[in-house]
Amino acid sequence: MSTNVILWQNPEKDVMPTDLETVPDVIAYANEQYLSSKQQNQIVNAFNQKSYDMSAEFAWKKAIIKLRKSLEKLGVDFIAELLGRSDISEYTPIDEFLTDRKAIDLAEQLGIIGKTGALKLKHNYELINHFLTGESDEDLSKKDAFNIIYDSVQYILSEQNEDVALAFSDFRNRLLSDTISLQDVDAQQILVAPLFYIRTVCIIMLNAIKKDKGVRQEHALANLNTLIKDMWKSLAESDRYAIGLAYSTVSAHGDDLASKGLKQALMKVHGFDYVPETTRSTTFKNQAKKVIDTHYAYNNYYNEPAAVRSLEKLGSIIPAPAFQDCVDAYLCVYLGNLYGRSIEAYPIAEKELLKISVDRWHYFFKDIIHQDQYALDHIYTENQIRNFSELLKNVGYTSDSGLPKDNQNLYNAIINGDSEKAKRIALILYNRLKYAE
Amino acid sequence: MTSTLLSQLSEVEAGLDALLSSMSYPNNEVIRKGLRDIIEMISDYHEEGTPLFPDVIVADSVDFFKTFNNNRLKVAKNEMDRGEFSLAIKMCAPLAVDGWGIYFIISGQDNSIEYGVLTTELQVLSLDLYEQTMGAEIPELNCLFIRNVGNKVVEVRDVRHQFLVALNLSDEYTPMDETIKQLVDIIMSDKDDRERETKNYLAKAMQQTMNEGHGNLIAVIQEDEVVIQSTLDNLHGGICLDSPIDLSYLISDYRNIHSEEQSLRLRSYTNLMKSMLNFDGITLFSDHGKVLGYHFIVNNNLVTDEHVQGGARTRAYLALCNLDCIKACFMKSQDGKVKFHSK
Repeated sequence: MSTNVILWQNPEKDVMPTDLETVPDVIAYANEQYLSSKQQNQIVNAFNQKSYDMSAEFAWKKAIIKLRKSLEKLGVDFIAELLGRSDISEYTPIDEFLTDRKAIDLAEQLGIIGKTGALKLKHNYELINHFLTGESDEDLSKKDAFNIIYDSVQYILSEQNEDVALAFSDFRNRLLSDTISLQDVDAQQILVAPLFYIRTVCIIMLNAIKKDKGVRQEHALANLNTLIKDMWKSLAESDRYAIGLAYSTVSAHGDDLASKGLKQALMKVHGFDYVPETTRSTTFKNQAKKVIDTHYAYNNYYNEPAAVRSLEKLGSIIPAPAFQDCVDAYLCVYLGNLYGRSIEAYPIAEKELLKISVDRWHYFFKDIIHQDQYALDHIYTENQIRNFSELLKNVGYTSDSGLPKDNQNLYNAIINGDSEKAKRIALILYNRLKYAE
Repeated sequence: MTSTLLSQLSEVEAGLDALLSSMSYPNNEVIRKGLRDIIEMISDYHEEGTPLFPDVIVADSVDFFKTFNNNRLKVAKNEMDRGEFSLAIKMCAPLAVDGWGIYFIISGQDNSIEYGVLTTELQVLSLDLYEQTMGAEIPELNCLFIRNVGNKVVEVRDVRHQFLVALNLSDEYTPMDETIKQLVDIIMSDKDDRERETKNYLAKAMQQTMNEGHGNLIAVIQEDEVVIQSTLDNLHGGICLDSPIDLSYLISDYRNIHSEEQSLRLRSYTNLMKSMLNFDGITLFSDHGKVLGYHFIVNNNLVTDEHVQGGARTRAYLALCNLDCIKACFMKSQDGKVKFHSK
């Protein structure tokens, strides 16, 4: 990675003119490698015949296919690491596990798409999902279809900047094949990077420690021990618990070398509070991840009830390492997306969220929310913020003045129902996770 | 007539002082005497005629137990008194079997002593208590580990320092755990360092077996039809298994699938292996991690030295050493002496 590529800078891109008015004009900017002449004509013809949903969905699908292909170049095992999916092997087809929404998130995380593009694509995804699943009582409008086609071409089907993603992939290989010192340029860059990159580096090393053996594992252990003291203050609670849980897991699996290395790393940061007493939290985390994946996939309103019931069945005593994942899962379902929420699923999530004590909500707002991408992503619409406010009031968490500044402002805005302010603060905190200020 | 008392007391106390100085209560007479009592008790502890080998861990704070996975069961917490140490052993040693050990939390600040039992075995392959505490080699984690390492020899150590108290008057000592690791390396010759978990599991099972039994005799041969037949020609009276117990396969099956069925299967066959090891006679292993048979007797005419001292087991061991087809042989006698030979 020791190039001039800085991971977290927004990728520069040739921008399409903003005054394009027709679909043929827009489609002309698509790269023929990703959208052939025949396919371009199909989109144009469908649009001209007023089959706006067909036209938009086709363009969208081609865009997502292209995005998945770009990500696949980095290696399926790398993508699985970023998604926290240990069940995926290098032979698993990428479209089996990489949903549209996750593909956009990862592309943003890796700098293939900038933050504006990611925001627009996420909105388009929710729009497509809404119309595709028959939840809408209207047809897709010409204007919405045009925007979907425009954004699909602008951010995906024209040229893309994949330098950052490739540079990051190279760095990942270095982490597992070299022993890196603190003076190393790559190490210095990572230590001042936004949370997403530090987190990704952590995930890469932990996965190698848990799954690999031999030289790769040894390098991962050595590099974690080198970086952990400087990384620790930047890590979110969930990331620290991930290290504690990894230590617990390797000890339970009888890997003495990994156990010793992780114990030494935790010793350096006095991090044993993050070691769970059992590996029960893994079950909760895995199920919570399934709920979140279901929420972000197609047909989520229909599929969420079963997923959230499975999480509910595990019990209300949530192990500490899984607390954030479970709250995130329940919040995603309860707050819903831009178009509403699953009528059958949200009461189940609400019931579980109401069982969380005021002390735990205080902990959530004090130590977690400012680095919680899922929670921040759901503080957006007026309905979402109003529902969040009602929930906190029903729990009895109606006043708190002991939070860090940004968290306090966010909490106050939610409790007071000030949706514009809450949305603004949430967006600032969300962008801070991924981009340098 | 004059008589002289020969005692190791001063050496033991000096050793304990050195270890206790790194914990939060140096020069504490009560604790030193209490630990001496523990050493003496566990060097040769029996309950209803059954020998017991509890591992004992001593910490100065409950925070120590956050540094590794364990389940604890408190038995008592009382004011510090020398008698509490021996009472703790009496109350806890019979419980400290099947992966359980004894813990002490001795607080110099409030002059209290808490004790009970604990286990680190959250899953079937979990590292044992010794590996999770001493194996990590982190000096800042203050604790003492006391255990019987065989033949009335007690190991007392922290991460950096160790001493052995030999209450058998012998000046020879073969460390059983190191010897078992060498034996396991040969039994699992086809496994490299990437299969550490497999080797750790087998070593742990064998250590438990050696502690529980009255003596063991193990031979390892190459997994080859000709070699196996040649070996069997020199053995008699035993059972050669049609389906050898393939521990390597059972362990990797569990690691891959990780279900309750695989876990139970692994435990069941491990218990079977332990029973075979504690049965009279020689247990035969291949160097691919399989139990080939048990209860064998070797032809004693293979022992060429007429002046061998020892019983039938020793003579059998020496006979095995003389067999060309044997890659390694291990013996633990009833009184705890360990011998190991490899080619």
